[in-house]
Amino acid sequence: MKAPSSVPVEAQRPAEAPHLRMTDIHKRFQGVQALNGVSLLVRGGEIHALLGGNGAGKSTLLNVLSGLVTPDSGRIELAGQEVSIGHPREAQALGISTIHQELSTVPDLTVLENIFLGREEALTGKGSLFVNRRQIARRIQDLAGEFGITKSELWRPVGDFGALKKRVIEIVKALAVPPKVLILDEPTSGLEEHEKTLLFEHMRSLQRRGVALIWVTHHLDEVFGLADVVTVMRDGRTIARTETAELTPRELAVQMFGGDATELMEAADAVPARRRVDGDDAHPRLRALNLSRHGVLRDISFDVERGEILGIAGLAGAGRTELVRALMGLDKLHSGRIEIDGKPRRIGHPKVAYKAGLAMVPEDRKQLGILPDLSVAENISVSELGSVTAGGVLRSRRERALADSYIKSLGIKTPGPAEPIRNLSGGNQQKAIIARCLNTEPSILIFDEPTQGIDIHAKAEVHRLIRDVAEKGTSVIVIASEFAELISLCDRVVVMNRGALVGEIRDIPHRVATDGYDAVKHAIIDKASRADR
Amino acid sequence: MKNFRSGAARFLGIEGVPILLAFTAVAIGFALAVPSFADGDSVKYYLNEEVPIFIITAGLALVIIAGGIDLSVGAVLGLSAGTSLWASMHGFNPLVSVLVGVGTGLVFGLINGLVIVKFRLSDFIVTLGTLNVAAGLLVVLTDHVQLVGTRDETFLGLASSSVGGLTSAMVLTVLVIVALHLVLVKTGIGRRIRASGMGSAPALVAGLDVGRLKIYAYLVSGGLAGFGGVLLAARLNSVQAGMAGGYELIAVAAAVLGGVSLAGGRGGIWQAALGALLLVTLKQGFRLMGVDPLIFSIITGVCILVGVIVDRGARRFALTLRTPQPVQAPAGELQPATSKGR
Repeated sequence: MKAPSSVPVEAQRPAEAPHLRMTDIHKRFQGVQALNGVSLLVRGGEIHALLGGNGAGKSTLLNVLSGLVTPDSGRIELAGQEVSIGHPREAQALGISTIHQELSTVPDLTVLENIFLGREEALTGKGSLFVNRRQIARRIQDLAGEFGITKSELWRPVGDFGALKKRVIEIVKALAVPPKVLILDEPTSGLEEHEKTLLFEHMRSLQRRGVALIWVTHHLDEVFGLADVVTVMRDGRTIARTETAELTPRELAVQMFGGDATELMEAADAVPARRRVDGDDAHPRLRALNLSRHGVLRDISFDVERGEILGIAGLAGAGRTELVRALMGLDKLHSGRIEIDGKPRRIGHPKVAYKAGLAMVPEDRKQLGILPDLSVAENISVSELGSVTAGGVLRSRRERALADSYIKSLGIKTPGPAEPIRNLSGGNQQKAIIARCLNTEPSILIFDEPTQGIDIHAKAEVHRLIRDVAEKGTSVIVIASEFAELISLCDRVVVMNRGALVGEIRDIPHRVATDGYDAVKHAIIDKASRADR
Repeated sequence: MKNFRSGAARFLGIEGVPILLAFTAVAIGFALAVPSFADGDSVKYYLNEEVPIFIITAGLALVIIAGGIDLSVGAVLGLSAGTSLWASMHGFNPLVSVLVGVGTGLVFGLINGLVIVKFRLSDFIVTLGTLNVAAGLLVVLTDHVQLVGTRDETFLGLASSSVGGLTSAMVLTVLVIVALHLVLVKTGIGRRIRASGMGSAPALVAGLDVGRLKIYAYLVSGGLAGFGGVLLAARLNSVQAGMAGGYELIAVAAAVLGGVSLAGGRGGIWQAALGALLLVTLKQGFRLMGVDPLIFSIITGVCILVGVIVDRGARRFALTLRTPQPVQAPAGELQPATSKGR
């Protein structure tokens, strides 16, 4: 481990001045010291990974840099000059561009308008709006084309597209004006393998052009081989700044989480022990027969047994989320049947789904999961208020006790059950949502991207929770974009492609043991990405 | 010193405290400026007069918390006053007259709720429409003149009987506010209404029947507007077209002043009632000071803006002063509520 701006590193490249230097940045929010003397040093032509667990202060630091948050104290230098960044526009003028973790596009504007938004001058040069717009549009077209955005899509409103495409648009937007400093806040989350690869290539090419890249990611495996330098943050402080070449993944995990982290990491990656799936009964727990929804789902049939963890694999747009939304009664099915324990069920509303024993931990925790102004306890009880009411009247002591028991058993880190849930970190919010589902005592529990945007520590815990739930006989359906996650978690994986089920890989633990991990992964990828069916 | 500061901050952070302080300051100010302001009978008189405002504010606050907005409350109140007085004038017994008035409100509430939920229309537009329907019906009902004079003493007594020094209308109003508050805070259905007001998407995913809950809220709001109309008719014993016009805006203002967020999910019934108390007190104070009543709407508007800004400022102030609580978890696990960016 090296201290920030240690002498040997400087000496190796004497000619290069640090492109960006942030020194001793402090920021306090509502009684929480978010940044407590953070320093960051990034050179031009460097891919600099910024790592840390949820709540380490990475996002706040980046917000300081992109002008969204004003620090209480500290110094920011760009190419040797002290700068103050009081507004996102000033950051842009300084050549600092950001790919935000939360999407910042305007849904009603077209893709092209979004790319131009507030940056006409930077894109076209001063005062030459009319002359160059066409030419610029063509350049953006080429750039967008590389990321799979067609010409006609450039003229459609961003709101038409799903989360994945929005992220790609965000990336194109940030690259449209060549930045001097590019901030990437978890840019790969939700991206497909080939899009990730493409993004990494772009990062390398920007690096060659001397851009300073600051890259936040939860995926430690991506860091090695791409990042030159790693700065680790914890509890609002800089823990270490190290050249990647001098690091091992284990050391990195220790820097991020302290001593006990490595075993968790290994647990998260471990291939599951083979569990017996109880399929002896006459009926499966859930049977879906010929489910169809116009333009989205085509004739889908599958079963889920008791205690089984079924994975649904597929690329974005394959219809995975749409399938579970339909099962939950959130979207309408145009034909098909659902049977639970052999009994046909009509599920026209989520309320009916919960009554039938289904529950779902949704994707996009912030938009669909948490009820932000309710407390942790209230978020846990809300789906089954019968557990905390008597004759329709809330019993606050009972509610508190219920929350306390889940806080304890799931390890939810919160100052208390009365804390508003929005104050918790992503991983802990996710656990509270899981607690909410468990409180309905579901016989079928659906997880849609259960570990998106949470750190590896919380991820391992969520995986353990999912396994525990299945162990107790609940049937589990998991959607995950990362095939590795599905393979390590599931008993069986079905693969979706363009709204249809195109394949099934049974007995995953066994297959991994005999054929090897890569063979299983490739079997899934193959089915998921085949274009001509 | 520090303890005092953080104590004060915690005090200001309690819901309803800023509006209560504002009301106290205003009341003391008027009492000093106009001696007759604090006179018991005069206070009782003006509060009794403003009973309908309090009642529709309570119902409207529930709708806003449920994620909607009900602009029809004023017009429905006027129409219900008309229908109940009409019933009483035509010899129906008092109970039936009350039911006619409340029923008028319930019907409008049901229509509002059903149309908004089933056709997925904007709350604002739908209730703006029903506002005009109700106002128009009142014109038809009063046949362009006013309804005057039932001889049914029981009906008239609804509003003006004396109960422990207060009028029956005032007592009923307090009961309505307390009951609605309890429903919102202490019952499962109240919790569900608040949760669904926070955002229909996450509430649906959590299995809440968002549409039905919203219809309930509109039913309550409509029913209360009807009830307020009955009390108004009973007090005045006369109803004319255009009555209670503009009340909906005073009620919106009162709810916002009381800290009910128009975004839904946040705020409470009694805080909204305090907002109404502040507004009607201002009105009374300025009236006693001889300020032109026409200026009152300007003052109301300014008060709302100032009130909202002060209220938010006070809440922020309270948050910044609050000493960090001891946290069992490492501090790093708690994400600060950063500014949301764009």
